[in-house]
Amino acid sequence: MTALVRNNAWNSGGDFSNQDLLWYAKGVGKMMQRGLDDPASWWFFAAIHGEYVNPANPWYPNPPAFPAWGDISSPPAVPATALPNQATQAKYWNQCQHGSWYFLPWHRGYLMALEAQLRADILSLGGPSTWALPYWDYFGGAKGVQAVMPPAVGQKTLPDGTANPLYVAMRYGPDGNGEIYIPTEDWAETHPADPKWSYGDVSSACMSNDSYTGTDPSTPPPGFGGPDTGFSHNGNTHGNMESNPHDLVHVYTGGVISNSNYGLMADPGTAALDPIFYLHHANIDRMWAVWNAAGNANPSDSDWLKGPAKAFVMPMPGNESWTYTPNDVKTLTALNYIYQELTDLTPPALVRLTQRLQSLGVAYAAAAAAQPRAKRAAELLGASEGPVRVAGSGAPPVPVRLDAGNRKQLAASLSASSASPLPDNVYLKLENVTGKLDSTVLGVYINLPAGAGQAERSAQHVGDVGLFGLRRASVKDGAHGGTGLSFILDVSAFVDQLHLQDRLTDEAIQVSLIPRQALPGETAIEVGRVSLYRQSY
Amino acid sequence: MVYDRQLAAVLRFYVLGASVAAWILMLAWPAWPAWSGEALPASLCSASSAAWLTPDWLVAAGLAWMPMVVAMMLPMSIPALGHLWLSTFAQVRWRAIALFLAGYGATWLMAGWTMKAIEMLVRNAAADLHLPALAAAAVLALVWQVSPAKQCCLNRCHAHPPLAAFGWRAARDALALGLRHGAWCVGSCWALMLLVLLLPQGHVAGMAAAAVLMFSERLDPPRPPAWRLRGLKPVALWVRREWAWRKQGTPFA
Repeated sequence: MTALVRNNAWNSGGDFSNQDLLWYAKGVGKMMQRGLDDPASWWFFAAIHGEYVNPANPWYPNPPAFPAWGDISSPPAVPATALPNQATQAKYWNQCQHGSWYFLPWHRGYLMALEAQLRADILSLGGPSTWALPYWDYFGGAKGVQAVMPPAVGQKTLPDGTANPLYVAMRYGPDGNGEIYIPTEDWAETHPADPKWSYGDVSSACMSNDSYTGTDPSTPPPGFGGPDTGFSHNGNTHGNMESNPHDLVHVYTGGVISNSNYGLMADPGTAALDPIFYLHHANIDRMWAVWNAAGNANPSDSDWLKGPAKAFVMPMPGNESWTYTPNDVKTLTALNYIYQELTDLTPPALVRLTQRLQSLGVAYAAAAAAQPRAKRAAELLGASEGPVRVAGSGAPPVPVRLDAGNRKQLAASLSASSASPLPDNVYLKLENVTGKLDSTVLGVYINLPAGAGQAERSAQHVGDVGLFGLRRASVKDGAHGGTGLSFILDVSAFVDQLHLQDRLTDEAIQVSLIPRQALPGETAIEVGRVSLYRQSY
Repeated sequence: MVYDRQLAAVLRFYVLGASVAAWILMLAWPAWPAWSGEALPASLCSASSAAWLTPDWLVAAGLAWMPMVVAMMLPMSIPALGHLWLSTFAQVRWRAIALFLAGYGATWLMAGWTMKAIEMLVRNAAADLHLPALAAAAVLALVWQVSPAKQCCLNRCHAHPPLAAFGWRAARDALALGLRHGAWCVGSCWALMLLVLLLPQGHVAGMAAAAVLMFSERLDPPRPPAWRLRGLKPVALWVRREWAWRKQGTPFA
């Protein structure tokens, strides 16, 4: 069977002369005509990812308000009635796998199922049998030109003048003004006059990881694809690819106006209502394929291959259903599609590791043997005294007190100027982040002085976290038991510099959490604890 | 930091080892010096002739109860122990674990005394009330098993709050985690335990069955509280997964 080709959505200028996008719009339009309880409808598929349409679920907003589906401004006109029966909901809905090593394979199957339904509808409308989902490569093109959303998705009408099913009213972008782009590094470089983006926070750095799960000198925990959650779903920390770029693209595309008005893409319970969702996830899926093509292996554990105890299941055209495992979708060669582009320019793991070691004065042969796995779990190096409340334009700097013994061991490891054992890695963890405003991006800075200007912010910046999934993770009887989300940032390079400047002697480092856009009104985000961890080899 | 496989394997080894040791203790040591001179399984589940609520009774009932807690309940604390391990500084880690176990044990001890007291009341009552009492316990266990309240307790078992890292607050939080975890554990399992306690015979089989059921439902992630049959689904799903894996087919071409 000839493989179908998923093409770049920016082909032909990304407008409706791109036939993939034109037929996508028509297929989406047809799916949108079906009812909420029809497994072949757009709404049913969106609910498979996550929904706020069943008031009996604990994450349904109380009192009823946005993001409840009945409170979504059209277009699209989202139905809130004729729920399928409870058994169907339990079988299919709210299935999205996140914070788990199943994140990538589940979404691969999800896209395949939607694509199959769309193709069937597109065929019935006279479209090509070779149609496949296009992808939005926000890292593509010269000078960040593809970081902008393909124009066809943002047009209100199709070429024939009818309403464009791809257009969504509640899609606000990083500036909250309907201009949709992703602030990647390339984007920031080509917009030096924009004060908001002195650095791009959305990056493809995860492609330099070389472990699907777990950690090694080139892979921050919990791994490229996500943490090992055995055969039951128990994770609240997103994998590296999932955190960046996936979560940040969701939150930046959605954007925010107020705490009762933010973009559909920013919340997993509304995200799949927006057709841009699938173009984004096609790119995530493509990046996974690229990562494999570069020689990085998926897990061989049977726990991953077999999938979770509650198997993944998708509706298929003609009232069929498809149960699948990660083993079924682990490689594109076993499936019916390929991608137009499968190359990536991100430096591989060894190059980054060599650069780090060189900065520490270690001569390291890049052709060295495979990197060592850690012999033990990461050790706690420092922690904040208590929870941190982030409101308005940010909390005052949080002192993260360092344990003296661990700090000395870290300094010794960095001073050793040795490649065997490798110097420690240091990770910053934001634990148990709770709140309701998913559309928040928190910029994380270390030792940021008061009144810092743009240049200083850039220098002290260590990463960003998009709080995609925050509301549902914070609900007491939701899938996370109310413990919220946790985020891990690799701050090894920053700590290396502190050490080289002889400044790794302080009793505490100051961590600043600054929302990219000031939090509206009484909205607050709480971080349970800010910790530092040291991973030795 | 996050779930670490090596750490999980180490924890599982020691905790399951302790659990197995406790099972062996309960089953294979007939010379256990219970006050009644009976073998341990019988004295675990049977009333004593000693006057109850005396210090002697409290000690004896506690000593008989705790191996059962280690055998049946401790394996379900592995995730909480893992969280505690990763959240603490190395130099105070064992103190934290000891405090957690103390808090957890204390909660279960309170629960154990209460249940043994109920059991005594039943045993000392007229013989024709024994069966109705057992039936009532069975109905209670069934109703509790399917209730939304039990799901709330199970959900809270999964919630691992952040812990203070320094000083006395670290000790306080470790103890609090043990107490809280124990409380939700008791909340989830009390009805089943009471039923097993009131069985006239077959205690070991009852304990084993209850242990399997409790372990299975602990594997389920948090879910919306609702009236539903819960318990053996994770094990059933696991069996189905293994069966499907052996068949190794997929209908999607």
